Amino acid sequence: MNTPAHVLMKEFIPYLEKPSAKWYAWVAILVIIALFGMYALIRQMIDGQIITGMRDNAVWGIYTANFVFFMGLSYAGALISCSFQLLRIKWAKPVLRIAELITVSSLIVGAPYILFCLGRLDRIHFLFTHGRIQSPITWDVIAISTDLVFCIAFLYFTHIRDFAKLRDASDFNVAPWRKKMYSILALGYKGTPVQKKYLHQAHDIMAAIIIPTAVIAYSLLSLLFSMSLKPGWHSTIFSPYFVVTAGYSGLALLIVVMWIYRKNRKLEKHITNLHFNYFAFGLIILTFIYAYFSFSEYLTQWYNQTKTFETLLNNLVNFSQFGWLSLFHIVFAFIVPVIILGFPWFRSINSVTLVSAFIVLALWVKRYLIVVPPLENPFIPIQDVRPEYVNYSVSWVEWALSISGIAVMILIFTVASKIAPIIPVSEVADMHNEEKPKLLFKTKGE
Amino acid sequence: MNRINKSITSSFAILAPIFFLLLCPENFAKTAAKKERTRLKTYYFKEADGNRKISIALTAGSGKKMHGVKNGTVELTATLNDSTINLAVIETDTLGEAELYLASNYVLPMDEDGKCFLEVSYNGNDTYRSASRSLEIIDIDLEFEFRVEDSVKYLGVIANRINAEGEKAPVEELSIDIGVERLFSVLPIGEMETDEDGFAELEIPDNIPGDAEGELRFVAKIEDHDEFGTVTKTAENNWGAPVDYTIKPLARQLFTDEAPLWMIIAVFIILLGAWYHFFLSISKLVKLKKAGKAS
Repeated sequence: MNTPAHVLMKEFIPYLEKPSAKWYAWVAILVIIALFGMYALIRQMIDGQIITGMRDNAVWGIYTANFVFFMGLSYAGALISCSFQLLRIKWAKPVLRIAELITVSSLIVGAPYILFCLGRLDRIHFLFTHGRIQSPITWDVIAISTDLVFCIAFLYFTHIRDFAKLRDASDFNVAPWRKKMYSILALGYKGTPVQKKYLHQAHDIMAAIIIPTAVIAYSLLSLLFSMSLKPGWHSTIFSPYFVVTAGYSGLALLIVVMWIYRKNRKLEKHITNLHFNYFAFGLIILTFIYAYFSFSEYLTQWYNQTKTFETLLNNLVNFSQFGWLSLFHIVFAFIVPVIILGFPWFRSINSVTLVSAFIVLALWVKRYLIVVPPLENPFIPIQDVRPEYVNYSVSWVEWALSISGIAVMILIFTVASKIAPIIPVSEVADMHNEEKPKLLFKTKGE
Repeated sequence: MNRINKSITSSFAILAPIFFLLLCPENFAKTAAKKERTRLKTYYFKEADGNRKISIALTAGSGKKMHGVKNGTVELTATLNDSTINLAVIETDTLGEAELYLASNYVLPMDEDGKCFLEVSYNGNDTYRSASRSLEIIDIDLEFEFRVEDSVKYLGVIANRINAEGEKAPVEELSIDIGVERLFSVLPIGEMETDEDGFAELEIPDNIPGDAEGELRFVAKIEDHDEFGTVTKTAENNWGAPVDYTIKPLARQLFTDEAPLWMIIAVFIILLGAWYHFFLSISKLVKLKKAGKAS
């Protein structure tokens, strides 16, 4: 057989065959970083949270910032891949798998961060045995676990056709167990019209349910903050603000990962200038929406400020407190994207990617600014406490677990792109000779 | 020459005292000042618990320049059958005020009609003149009577003066203010006047906010009467509209033992909908696998 899909698959097979020494070395580095994070976690469990920067006043720190950040990335990935699937947008097909992988990997990496904030991690099962349905924490557990299962399922659905191709590929030299694995995972897919129909239906159903699930999950995440009576948190626009921030950071990361794979795997033919162009356009729209939400949020706090709000806002612009972080956030989440993405003569694949990388960083900083300053400035300040307990500072344990989280996310990408092509080969091959899209549901008329 | 000397001598004789006075005005003031006139004001209060209070204000000066005389010694005496009885010697405070409290069981000297003749006097000193003030007091007793007729609530008060033998006699044409005790003051409800039996009655509205059980504390007050002074009497009754004043902590709506029903239903529906679609898509895969086997 020499179908376009098989031809295209041949292009990717070298990346899927026996890993090179370089690949093993890269994986080893990532595993070592991940293990270092594991060591930090074990130390934290043995010594307690005293070895973190979290104290009585600032009970959350970069663990929570990481949690919000990674959850946001996962939401954006899910939204992009599922909405593009439902809307039958063909041009985006080559990058949809990257978006799906961002979703699943960031969910796997991000979800545990909230658990690291627990003082008694050994009592984690109490969350299930004594969980209260009226607690935002319980909502989060339910929503995130549901979202994770759905996203993994969706990722798998999009792989089925490629697994079938790899199962059938005669010149694919891999270990027999991998062949058997592909055979099992392909579910006997042979590309018959009936199977295509069922697979499309499964795809569409999952895509349709993941979008609201992800929106709900991320909105619920924002409720963890906005349900609390804290300055800077108790805000009605937090849910949509979080959702927009998630989309903004997720799209920026997608561009960065697209660029990496494009360079690394020489995918210029598949991940083209068009993708960067279109996504840059999406990014500039999100920049303005994000700026609008941020402006609304801070303006209302500033306009009728109480003493506590005044202190909080002063700390956010005070360069001995959070001023530098705020400036970084403003410059790289608002100003630079508008300048670089807004003017055609600044726009290029590299500049768009660079701006996206800074947006990702700036939005991590934003999450830090959401979490820490309000905790340090409560309505009722903590009394009779050591001065070093009032303010938050990141400890090596927290840095180790944060860096190891990034390593694990990269590791998931590295392994996943070794199991299956990083672009959905079957989908891309069918892109140009697909039959007319069928209606999602029956409508009266033509 | 002699004439000139005489003129100078006589001029000096006239001007010297003027210069002296101008250079030492304090001496002039002291020598020239008269003692300030003083005034005494007395008020008699009978509180709801039967304790009494005689309030004295000692002031000096005139018009707008009136001021209290501090640390003034005031004597309180009672006159009975031409004999004077010393009751108390009290000192005014910095505002020129002094108060004498009489316990409910202390019997003031009174004549057979129940009249007590008191005299408050201030002997004066180098600065202030003496002053005195007489005060006639008759002890009065107020009794409450609550009555409901055709669902209308009436509050009655019986006013009796008490003589030395403890016998009561009704007081007629006595104006009594009725009110309800609130947190900081008395809420006026109405004014009434006693009849020949010393009785007066007032209709009480139904909608006066009471405590959680509707309890009200009614206050009957005779205000600054020439004979009785200011007399207050209180009584409690549950004629008020019950109001729970307990300040509940601001409700944290989800800090409850059980989740609200709407939330349980909403979560159930959302989860059911989501997982239904999940298993629906899984069923498509099952069909896909079966279709593969069939082909």
